[in-house]
Amino acid sequence: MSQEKPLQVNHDDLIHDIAYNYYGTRFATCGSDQCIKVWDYNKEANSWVLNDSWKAHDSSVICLNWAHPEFGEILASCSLDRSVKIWIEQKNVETNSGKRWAPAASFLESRGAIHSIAFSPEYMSITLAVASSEGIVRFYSPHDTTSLQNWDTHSQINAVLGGAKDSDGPLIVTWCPARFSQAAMIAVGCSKENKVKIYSKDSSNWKLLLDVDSYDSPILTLQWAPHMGRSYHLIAVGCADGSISVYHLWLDLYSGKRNIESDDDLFRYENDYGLNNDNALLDTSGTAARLGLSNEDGQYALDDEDDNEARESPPNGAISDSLKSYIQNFKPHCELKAKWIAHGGLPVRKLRWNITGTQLVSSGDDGYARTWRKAANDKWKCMLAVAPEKNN
Amino acid sequence: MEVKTEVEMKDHAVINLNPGLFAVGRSAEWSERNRTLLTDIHPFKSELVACVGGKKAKEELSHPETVFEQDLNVYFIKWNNIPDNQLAKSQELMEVQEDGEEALVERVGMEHLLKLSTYYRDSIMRHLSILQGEVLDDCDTENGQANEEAQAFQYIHALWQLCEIFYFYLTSPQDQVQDHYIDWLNKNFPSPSTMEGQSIISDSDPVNHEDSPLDASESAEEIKNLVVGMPLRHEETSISAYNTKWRDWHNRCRMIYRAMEGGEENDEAWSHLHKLVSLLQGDEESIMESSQSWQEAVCAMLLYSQPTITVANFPDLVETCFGSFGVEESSAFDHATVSLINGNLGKFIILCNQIDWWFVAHITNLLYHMGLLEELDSMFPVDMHEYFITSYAETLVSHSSLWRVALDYFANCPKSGHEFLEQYVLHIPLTSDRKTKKLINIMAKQKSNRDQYGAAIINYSKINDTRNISQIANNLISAYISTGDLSYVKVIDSVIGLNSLYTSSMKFLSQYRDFHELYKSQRFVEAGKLLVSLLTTHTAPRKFWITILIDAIPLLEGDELVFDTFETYELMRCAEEIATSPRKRDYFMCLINAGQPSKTVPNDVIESSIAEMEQQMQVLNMACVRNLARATIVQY
Repeated sequence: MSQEKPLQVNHDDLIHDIAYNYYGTRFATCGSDQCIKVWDYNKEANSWVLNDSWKAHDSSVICLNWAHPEFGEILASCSLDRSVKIWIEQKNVETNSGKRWAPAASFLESRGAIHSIAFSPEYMSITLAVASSEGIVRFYSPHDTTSLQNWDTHSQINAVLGGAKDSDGPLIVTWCPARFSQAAMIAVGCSKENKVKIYSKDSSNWKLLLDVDSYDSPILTLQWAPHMGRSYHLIAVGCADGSISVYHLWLDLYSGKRNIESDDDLFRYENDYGLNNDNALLDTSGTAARLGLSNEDGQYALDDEDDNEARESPPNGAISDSLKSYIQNFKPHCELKAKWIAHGGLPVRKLRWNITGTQLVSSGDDGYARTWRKAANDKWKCMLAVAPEKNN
Repeated sequence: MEVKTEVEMKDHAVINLNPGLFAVGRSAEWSERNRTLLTDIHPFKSELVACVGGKKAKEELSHPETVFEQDLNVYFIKWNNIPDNQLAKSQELMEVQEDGEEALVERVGMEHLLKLSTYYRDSIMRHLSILQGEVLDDCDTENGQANEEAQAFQYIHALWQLCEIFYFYLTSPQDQVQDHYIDWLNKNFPSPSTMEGQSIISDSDPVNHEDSPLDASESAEEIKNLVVGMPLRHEETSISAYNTKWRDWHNRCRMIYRAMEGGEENDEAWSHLHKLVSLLQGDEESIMESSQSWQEAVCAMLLYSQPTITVANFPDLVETCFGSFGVEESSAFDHATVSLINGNLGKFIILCNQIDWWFVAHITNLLYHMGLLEELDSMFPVDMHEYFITSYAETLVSHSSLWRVALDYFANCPKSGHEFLEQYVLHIPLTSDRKTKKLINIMAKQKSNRDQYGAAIINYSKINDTRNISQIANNLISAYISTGDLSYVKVIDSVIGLNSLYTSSMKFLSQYRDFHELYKSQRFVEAGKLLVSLLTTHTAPRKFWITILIDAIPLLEGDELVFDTFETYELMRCAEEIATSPRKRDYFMCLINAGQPSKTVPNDVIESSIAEMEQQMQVLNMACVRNLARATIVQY
């Protein structure tokens, strides 16, 4: 455990966001001075070197997000003036010229403050989700992923019924990074209702998949952990009341139920429970099957619990209680695995997972940063606290 | 929604930002002035970046906020960083891991696991002696850390050896504990140290102490004889002989003790002697009083009170001694030792985790290969084996020269390793060919560990790694010998066309599969020609010759004449080469071991199998002779 000499980033006002790129070889900062700065790691000198600094917006720059490097060095920024810009590094332009990063697009559709922007995982091509306090998430993509020009909004989520205002608090988004789920998913934290919701993309439309949970205070940060082939998803939610909540999500029809190894098994299984009928109740099962989070080998998570109970055939025409509860389990559902007050009850501003989802970093208004880790017994434990107080 | 689990908020590491952001107790004020902390986690290293953040934008504030220097500092905080002086340890221990893994690949049972275990222990010992050297070298300068580490390694070694004792040596509940335990204690916690021992010996001569009254020195002489005459287990040929002697001796102790009752209690020398005898006769209270640690107390109890205690009863003794030494004050090491002796592996592993991450990863790996973790599966929500290995490996990833080691660890986890590998590999910027090659190699190894041989071969072929390709081929051959299953070979068919560089063993496997297909479709002549060519062209590895020769018997004995004279001579030559080879027994053993993976084959089975094979070779010789006759008649 150690701290290196701090780096003076020389903004003219307070910083609002800091973000590593995909490899951790550079990071960007932005702030109330309307500037963005990009810093590169120089391995030989073991130090961070300014790549460029430029005035990015006509108002404070609130938030930054890096795209996957597969598409180039691309940075998105949003400002208090509700504008969002896409920046692309120009390798042939000198560093520190103020022109190294060229604007490729500018989005002005939002009527509310923007506190959260997020590039999609790379396997979905390049899409930027922009969450606006008016209760809308807009999706933007370029017409052509090589030139990265001509960006367009092609779909949106109206996350808050009846809309919302800036004063209701921020709208936060985080993508599901799992590569093997066939449908794109996104979690949206809506401060007006203090709810986190999951949407999935069905051909071109976004549909509400489930409400994760509701809270007593605005949601300030939200992050979906890398999937890592687990049988469940992990999502962390941080609120203004200082709470951090960690959820396990099952979106898979079969996980936690039975080991299905072949199509035959699946067919027999569905027949057993009348799943091949046109039963409206089972709509969610269809969605879930499409989202099928089977692991790479095509096997579903195994757990024989309740199996015997579920195996009973339902009486003709009627739905037995066990089947009812069974169908309940088909619905994508989630479980609150841990909830704790992390920053002395003061707002939690940032939550970030490491790339394997084994470690969570939080920071809050108490000035602390903390790392959390799930121990072998499934309990979460604080591993490290970074204290802001001056050491006498 | 209801919460399911608790969160542990105590006992974590703390690091203070330097320079700090505000004075102690001023956080509310700081926060009111539009400030919070922002962080991001490094995707690859155990490192986070932090800086002061403005909660609201300048435009939203009613009056402007002054910005100070520390508001514009970006802090980098690392954890899990391995100091350079510990690098050697991680690397050295990894080498063991690699060697060890190779041993494991052979999957030949407990004997090899024990070898592996001793391997690990030796390297821990080596590292320990280096550390102890360091501690001695710089007595004055910050030797605290080295000292602490040496202590930790001492504990690790002790636990490791104890694990070995209870799971390799003392496997029956009726086994006697005494010898092993005393050895263990002496090796790990020598007391008194040699130096102290010397000084004790030279210091005093209790028998001829001038001030002692005559009475005491007489007793002293007697007690000296008693101590010298104590029977020792290793000096006796059988347990019962030892037991009888020990009982006699014990009775003598008690008699002397009783004779001393009511003696000169005020005399210091006398009371020392009295105490000594009470120890010798196994008085529990005196033993607890005089022992410096519970481990020592256990040892004394084993020597003076319960010398023939068995594995089954040992835990009770340990609990008693442990209990009388104050459970609260004991360390994770003490608790781990007791849990191990009690056979509570779950608790043992959790405690090991508190001692050292390297240790817990490797000891669980050993327990896993011994098949001891299975019963714990239901106790833990995670796969213990892989959880600790991946956790340890993640601490290494950050380091610029250890990330490869970390990836190797991931590659050795068949269940979750490949996701970890993938995540890290994706986040490593590929800046050189060497790095790329290394990564491909690791991915290939992982595929091969998951029995995805086709994918592994493709990966290896990208970096022209013929050594590993033949290793896979050899594995497949062994798999055939043990199961008779050649279905894997299909997998390699698809890749074999890619590159002619494939090793002969790969070619052999493919051709041998062809032989079986020809044979099945009753094209015996073609099958026979192929079989002989496998031998004459040296395509078949020698350890496989016996199998091929035995395969030839039905062709030799069939109605159709398959082999001509030349081919028959070849078969005979090969049979002779095996029969006269000094490595003949090895070839037989190879077949026997392959048929019994992960088990030690009992000697009688080995002998009977060898006899059977010898007999088959005789049959082959006869068949060859008969065939030679038939072929000669046909040819001339």
